[in-house]
Amino acid sequence: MVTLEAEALHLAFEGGPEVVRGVDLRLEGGRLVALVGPNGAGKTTLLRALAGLLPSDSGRVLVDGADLATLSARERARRIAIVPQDGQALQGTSLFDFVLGGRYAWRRPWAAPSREDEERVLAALAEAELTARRDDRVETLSGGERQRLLLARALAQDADLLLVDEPTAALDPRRQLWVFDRLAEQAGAGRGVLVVTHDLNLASQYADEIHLLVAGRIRASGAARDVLAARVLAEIYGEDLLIGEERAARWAEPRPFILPWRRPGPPRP
Amino acid sequence: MRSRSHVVVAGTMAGLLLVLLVASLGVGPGDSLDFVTAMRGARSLVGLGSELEPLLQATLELRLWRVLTAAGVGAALALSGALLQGVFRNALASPGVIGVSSGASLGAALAILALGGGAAMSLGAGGGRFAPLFIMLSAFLGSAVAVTIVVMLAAHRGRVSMPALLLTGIAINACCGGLQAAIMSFSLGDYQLLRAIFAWTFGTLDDKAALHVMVVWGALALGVLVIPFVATELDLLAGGEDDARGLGVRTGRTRALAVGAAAFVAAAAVAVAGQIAFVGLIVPHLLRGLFGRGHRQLLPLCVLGGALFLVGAEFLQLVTVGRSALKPGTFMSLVGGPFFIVLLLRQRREFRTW
Repeated sequence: MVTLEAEALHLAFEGGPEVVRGVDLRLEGGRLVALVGPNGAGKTTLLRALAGLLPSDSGRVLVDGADLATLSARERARRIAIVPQDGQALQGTSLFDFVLGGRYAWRRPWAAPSREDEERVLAALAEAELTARRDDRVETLSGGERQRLLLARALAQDADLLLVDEPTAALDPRRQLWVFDRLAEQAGAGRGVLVVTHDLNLASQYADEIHLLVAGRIRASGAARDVLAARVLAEIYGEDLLIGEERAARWAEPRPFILPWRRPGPPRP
Repeated sequence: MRSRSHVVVAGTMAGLLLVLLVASLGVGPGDSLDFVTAMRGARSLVGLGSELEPLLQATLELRLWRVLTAAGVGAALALSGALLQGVFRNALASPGVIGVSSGASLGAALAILALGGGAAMSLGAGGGRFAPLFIMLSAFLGSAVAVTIVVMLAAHRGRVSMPALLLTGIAINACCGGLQAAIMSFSLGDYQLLRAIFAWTFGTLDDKAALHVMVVWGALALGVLVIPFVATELDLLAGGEDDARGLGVRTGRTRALAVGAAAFVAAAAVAVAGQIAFVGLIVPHLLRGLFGRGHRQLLPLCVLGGALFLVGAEFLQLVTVGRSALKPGTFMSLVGGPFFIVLLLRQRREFRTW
C-alpha cells in the first residue's frame, strides 16, 4: 500500500514569510483525504511540496518511506500525479496529445508513444467523458471540460498518488459531484487521493479524512463531524454559517453540511 | 497532423534543398557554369575525376562554399530561433535576444580593428588565410562571452528566470551595440576598416572557404544532437514550469540544453556569416503556422526549412538583382520585414493569444 508522509514540514516563499509551519500529514492508498482551510492558509503551497515541486526549508516528504527529494523527476512523476488548478492557458495541441503528456515519465526520450501509452490515454479520455473530442484543440474546451482534461492527463500518468488542487471551482453542481465521484473511484481502486478544496460540503461527503489547515498549521484532523464542528468553523470562518447534518446508509455517523448564511444585524468581525 | 505527413514534408523539403543547392552552383560571381561541368567540378573535390580548368574550378569552389555556408547558416539560425521560442514560450524570441548576434559583432569588430581593415577584407594568399579564421574565432568568443554574461546576470541561486534573461539580453545587446558604434566612430577615417566592419555587420556569404563550411556544419551537427532530449520537454513546458515538472520533466536541464544549443549554433552561424536577421525569427514562425507547435516535428523541420530559406533567398537574389548587389542580411531584412507583417496580419487572431 502506497504512502505519502510529510514530517515537520516548513515551507516559505523565497525571502518571504513562512507559509507552512510544521505540518505532519499522512496519505495512504485507498483513502480520499481532503485538505480544507481559509484563503491563504497555505493549502496549495503544501500540495506543491507534497508533489515534490517545492523544496522544503526543513522537514521532509516521504513516499513509501523514501525521501521525495532523492527521487528523479521521472520516478517522482510515476508515483505522484498532480492535477493543477485550472488557470493555465491551454493552447495549440489536440486533447489526445495533451493527455499523452501524462505518459512522459513512462516513455523513453524521443521514443514514439507505445501501444500501452495510447491505450492509457484513450482510457483516461473515456473516463473523463472526452473521447468524442479527442482530436479537437484544447483551446476550444469550456472551463468544465478543461478541468476534466486535466484530470484525464493525471489519470494517464498512472501514479498511485493523486494530488488534486481545487478541482471544482469552475464547475456546476452536477459536475462537482461528478469530479468527486471520479476521485472516490480512484481511492476505491487503491490510490491515495489528496484534494485541496474550499468546498466544505464536498469534503464532508466524500473524504475519509479531513485536514483543516489554518495559517500554515493543521488546526484539526479527522472525520468530517469532528473537523467541521460548529465551534471550530465559527472560530475560523466567523459566525455567518448555517450548519446542518445529513445521514446516509454508507456513513457510520451523520456528516455536516455548511452554507454561507448572513445572520441578521451588523456583520461580525 | 500525424507524423507520416511530416516525413513527406521533410522529404519534399530535403529534395527541394538539394535541387536549389545544385542550381545555385550555376549562378553567382564569375562565369556561368552549366550543370554537367558543375557536377564534374564538384566530383573532383571528393577525389572523383579531374578538376576543371583552374579559373572555372575556382569559381565553382567559391560558389560551392558559399551555398553550403548559406545552407548551414540558415539551418543553424532557424534551429536556434525555434529552440529559444520554445524555451521562452514567445514567438518573438530569436538568437538576437540573448546577446549572440551583438556579442559576435563586437568580437568581429575588435578582431578587424586588431588586424586592420585591409587584411580583414582580403582572403588572398599569405597572411589573408589567417584573417578570416581570426575574425571568426573572435566573433564566436564574443558571442560566448555575451551569452555567458547574460545568463550569469539572469541567474539567481542556480536558477535562470526567463524574463530576467530577456531583460539582461536587451541590456547586454545595448552595451555591445554601444561599444561597436564607438569602435566605428573612432575609425571613421579608415575607410577600409569601416568597410570591413560594415560588411560583417550586415552579414556576408562572399569569400567563404571550406573552413567556414566546416565550422557552421560542425556546430549544427552538435546542435541537432540536442533535439531528441528537448523536443517533447519543450512541448510540455508550454503549460508552465510547475506543470512540466509535475509530469516528470527536468525543466532546468531542458532549459540549459535548449538555450546552450541555441546559443552555440547561432554563435557559429554569426561567426561565419555575420548578422543575418529574420531567419531565426521567421522560419520557425512560418513552419509552426503550417505544421503545428509540436517540437518533435518543428525542430527538425526548422533545420531543413532554415537551410532552404536562406539558400532560396540567396538564389533569388542572385537571379534577380544580380551578383551580390545586396548583403544577405540586408536582403533578408528588406524582404523579410514586409513578409513578416503579412504573416502577422494573416495570423492576427492566433498572435493575440500569446
